[in-house]
Amino acid sequence: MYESLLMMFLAAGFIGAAAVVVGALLGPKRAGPDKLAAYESGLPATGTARERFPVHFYLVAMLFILFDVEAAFFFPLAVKFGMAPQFLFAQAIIFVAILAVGYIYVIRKGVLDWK
Amino acid sequence: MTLLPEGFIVWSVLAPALFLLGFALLTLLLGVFQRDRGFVAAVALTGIAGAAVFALHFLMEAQRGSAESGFGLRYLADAHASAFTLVILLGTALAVLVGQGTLERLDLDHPEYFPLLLLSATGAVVMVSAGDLITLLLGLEIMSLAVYVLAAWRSDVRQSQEAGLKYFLLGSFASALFIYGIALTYGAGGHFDYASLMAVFAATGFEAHITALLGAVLIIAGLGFKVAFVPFHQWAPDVYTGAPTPVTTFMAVVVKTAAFGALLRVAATIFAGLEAGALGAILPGVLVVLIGATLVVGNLGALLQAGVKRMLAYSAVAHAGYLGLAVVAAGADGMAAAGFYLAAYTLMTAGAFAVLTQVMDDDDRGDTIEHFAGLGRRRPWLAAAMAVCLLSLAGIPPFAGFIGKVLVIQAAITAGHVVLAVLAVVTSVVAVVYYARVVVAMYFREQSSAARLPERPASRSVDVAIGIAAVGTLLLGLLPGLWYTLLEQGQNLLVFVSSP
Amino acid sequence: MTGDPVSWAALAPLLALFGALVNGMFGRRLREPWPGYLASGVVVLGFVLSLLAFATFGQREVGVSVRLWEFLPVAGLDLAVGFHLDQLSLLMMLIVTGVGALIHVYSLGYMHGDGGYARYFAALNLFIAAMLVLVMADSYLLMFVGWEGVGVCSFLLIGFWYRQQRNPDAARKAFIVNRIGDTGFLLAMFLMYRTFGTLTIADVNAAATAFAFGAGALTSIGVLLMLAAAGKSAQLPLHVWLPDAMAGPTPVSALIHAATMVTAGVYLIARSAPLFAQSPDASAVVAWVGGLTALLAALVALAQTDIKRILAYSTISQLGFMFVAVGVGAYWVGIFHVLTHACFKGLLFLTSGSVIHGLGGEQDVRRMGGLRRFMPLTALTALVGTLAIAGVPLLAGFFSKDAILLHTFASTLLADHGAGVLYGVLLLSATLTAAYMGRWYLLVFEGEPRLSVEARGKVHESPRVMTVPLLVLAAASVLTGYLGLPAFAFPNWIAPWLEPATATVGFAYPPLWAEWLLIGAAVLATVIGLALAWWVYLVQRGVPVARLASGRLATFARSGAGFDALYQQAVVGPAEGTSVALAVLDRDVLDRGLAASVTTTGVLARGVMLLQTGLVRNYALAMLVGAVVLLFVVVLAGVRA
Repeated sequence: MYESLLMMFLAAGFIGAAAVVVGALLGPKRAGPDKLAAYESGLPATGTARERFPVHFYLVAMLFILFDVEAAFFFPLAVKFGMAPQFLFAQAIIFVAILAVGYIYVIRKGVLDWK
Repeated sequence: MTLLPEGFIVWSVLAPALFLLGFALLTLLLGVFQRDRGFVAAVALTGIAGAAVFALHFLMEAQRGSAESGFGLRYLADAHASAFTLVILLGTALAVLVGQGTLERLDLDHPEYFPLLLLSATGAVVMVSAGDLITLLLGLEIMSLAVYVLAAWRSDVRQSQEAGLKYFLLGSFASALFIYGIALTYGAGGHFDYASLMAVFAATGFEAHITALLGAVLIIAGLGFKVAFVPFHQWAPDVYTGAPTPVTTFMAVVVKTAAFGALLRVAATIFAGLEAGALGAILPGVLVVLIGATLVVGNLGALLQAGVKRMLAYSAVAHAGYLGLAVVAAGADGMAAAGFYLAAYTLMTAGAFAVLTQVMDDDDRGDTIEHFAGLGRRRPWLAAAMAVCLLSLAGIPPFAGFIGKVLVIQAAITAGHVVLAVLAVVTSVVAVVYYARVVVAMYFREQSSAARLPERPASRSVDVAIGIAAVGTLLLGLLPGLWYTLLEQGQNLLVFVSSP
Repeated sequence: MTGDPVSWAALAPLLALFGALVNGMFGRRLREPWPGYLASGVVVLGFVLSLLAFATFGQREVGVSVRLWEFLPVAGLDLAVGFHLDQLSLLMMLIVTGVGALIHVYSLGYMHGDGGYARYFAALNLFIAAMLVLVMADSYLLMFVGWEGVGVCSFLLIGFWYRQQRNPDAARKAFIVNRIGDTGFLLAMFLMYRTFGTLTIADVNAAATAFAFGAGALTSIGVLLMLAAAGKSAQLPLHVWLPDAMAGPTPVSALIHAATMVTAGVYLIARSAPLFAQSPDASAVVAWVGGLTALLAALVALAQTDIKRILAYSTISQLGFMFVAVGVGAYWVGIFHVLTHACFKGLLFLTSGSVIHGLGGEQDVRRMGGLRRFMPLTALTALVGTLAIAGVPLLAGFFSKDAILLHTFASTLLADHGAGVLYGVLLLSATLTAAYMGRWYLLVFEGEPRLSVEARGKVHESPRVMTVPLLVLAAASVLTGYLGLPAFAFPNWIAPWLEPATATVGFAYPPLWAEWLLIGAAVLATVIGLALAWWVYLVQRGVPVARLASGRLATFARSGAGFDALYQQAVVGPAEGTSVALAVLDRDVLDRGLAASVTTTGVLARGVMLLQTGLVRNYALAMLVGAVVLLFVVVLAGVRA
């Protein structure tokens, strides 16, 4: 009954491990100071934590993730759409409407005006 | 593909929540396009009133014995749900009025304030209407996220930032406990909805008692955080004090009402189902210990506070204890008693905080008892309203708080928890001391030169809120039957389902 | 509220309450006549509503119940605010609002220019509201609310002129003595709830009817109710407050301390008639207390010199007559006398108020006399009142007093409790009544004026707003008697009217000729009393009693037969001693214990504050530990089981 789940775990583990292992084996290794630094979204990872961050960057990134992830919610909706088409359609509309209001709000707030 | 059963989807039961949601979005749009805050507040109040009309309709239906529900008892509009929805809406309306009158003065005027209040109220309505644990969790998160932001509303003030962050961190922690509890409960019972869980737990041959009990304990911990049961209460004094006073007004009443509404429902169904088994005494025992500790710690904590705001914060913890009496009696008269108590609590607490906003200065400071000295002479109506609210909080007749206390204590005694009832009476003696201190200062002490009341024109909307609170407190105290009979005689769907 | 006009009467107390609230809150901002107009208006409206209900009540067997709201369900006790409108309560409503309306109007003149004008009318309206609640209540609990309410109003109005020390003292005395009676009411309610499981009057009465005749529980409840009634209606041994209560404004004495509130005790017994009809012992207590009070108060009244105190003792005495009536089971007779007495005693008080008003505050009858020439209208109406109360045939008091005497004589309920002796006591009291009322009238209005010089110049008839109520009440003092003509020979309206609302008790009526003989005896008593007063005070100008009046006996009687001194010695003294001892106990033992517990609480509170570190990690830890301990408890218990 749970074989498929097991298969998925195995596949995920294999792909994850393979990516690391294959990369380590095959990739070219030309190290420099920038490349050895930990990846922190393009910011220097050392120094005082009380430094000013460019908030705008985070905001845009977060908004991207928000709207991106919202799209993922449509998958279960699509899968079960046949169960109650009208209800689920209405739900989707409400959902999009809320997103739209959020979008208008974001624009009016000037978050997307990159200066 | 299987179709959903006939009558599974009932849009109408969602009406109060959807109405609030719609107006939250509307006020958000208005907020960014419109400068006039008064207009936005009026729209918010319209939304609340609309939602209240729907809730009132459902309450009347429940009186007629034809309460509605949807989604296979996962979303309810029976007497309990609609009554608590009404209390939440009352609290939200008072918070909107207080906010409208104080935000500008306190330099808190951002367009997102009213939308967040309404969103939070939406979550609260979902919580008290929930008929299953997932719906409950959804409501809880919708409500909480908005309040986390509101607590940190004075973003340039350390205390407010601290309050927001504390609330968020500890709240997430509590949510984690809560979700774990849901998982364990599901593991034990195989369902999410209360009615099925109750049936499974109470059935003969049910064996996973311990798992279910562990789940129940974690649910208590999670919701206990929101209602501020000891030892999950410590955020409350700090956050209530740190958050801007208009926000505290909202938090103290709406969040508490929602969490208790949910907890009572869970206690009346899931916990009641678990009382059938061999380990049936454990859960009531756990609750009694927590509630007893809450009564003691809340009242003692309030006793020596110099700031009235912090005193009221601890008093909110203490009142969680009194409401806890209703939780241990949730199967009997507890739900109706709590419904009454929370209406009274909403009026008197919101009233007290509203008066506080008028006494404190434009930096949201100056809440010591010194500031209340001589208030009875300088602002007689304000002082009278404060006195009504405080005496009611202390449980002195003829105010609503007294009737509320009588009802919950009576419910606890009926349910057999006499020791807890005695403890409640004893601790309420302590409570009289700290409430009365403010009243004494207002009427029997001269104004001190160090603590002057800020000179500024009175805000009409705050006055309206204070008026509603004080008059309501008195009215509910004199005519408790008006509200209590609705609660007591209204149809309660889950009890109805599970009784045969 | 239904379409039934009878149920509209439920609005009457609310109207009065509204008047009291408006006058109480905003009265000071209203200019003079308006508080009075408002207060009088709501009471007149209440009277109209009562009249309407009365007129449309018709031939119903049971009363109309109006439930205004449920208060709270507490442990099976029905805490609803509900009114029961039946023949008895409607009649009482008519008395309260009717006499009340007249006295409100009269007060417009009497209180003219007083500093506390609005306060006075607020309290008077509040009194009407409370009194209506008392007579309309459908449960003893709600009746008790009204019972206490009228007590509070009485307190407020006796001490109305609070700047003179003796007025608040009198108010306090009234309140404290009434509290003793109230204790009886409370205990009676406890016992009722224990015995019958309800406090609804109709249910209690029904349960009492089904109870064994003469059962101990009924007697206990009855005696306790009588204690309550004795307090409110100033019967032995709790009568001492009423003479002092005359310190209040005279209209208040007329309304509260003569016509309405003091009859609440009679009403209470009549309301509980089925219970008393089942208990001859309790009824005997009622009747004998009433009889002795009637005699004693009449004796004391003979020696009084204050124009209002004479009337106060007369009220006590007349109330005694009423208690005899309800005690022997003639409930309609008791209420009938309440009705007639409300008219003629209200009238007498108002005339005395008119006299005091006209003389600029003089109250001593020895410094009056001959006032008929100066105040003819007042004198005429006072004469009507005097003759009515004395029992002169064809006036109201004659019919009601005769009915009391007849039913006492014919009582079967108290056949074993000395009904015959009681009849003699009442006959003697009736003679004395005629004598002291004759003395009162003659000293005030006839003979030579003995006024002080400054009073002589000022004396005048009262304004129309005061004399019109006098005339109305004088007419009522004649006419109300015809509602209850002797049943053996004439049509009687009031007995069959009240019968369904009270209880039926059997009487051994004597043969017709004997009834006429009894009436003759009553008339003879009146004539003897009046003739005595006429001879002593008008013909001989008081000479025959001049030596007596300065004697020790008269001093004793003038002081109210020594009750105040007795209570001072027997109750107040020991009570003060006890309270001194208790004060020591309180200061040196209890306070220290209390201080210790306060300190302990303070230490505990500090401990709680120490736990509040302000650090989020500690809070999270507390939550975690809490959750883990709870989980652990569950697992441990599970393992054990």
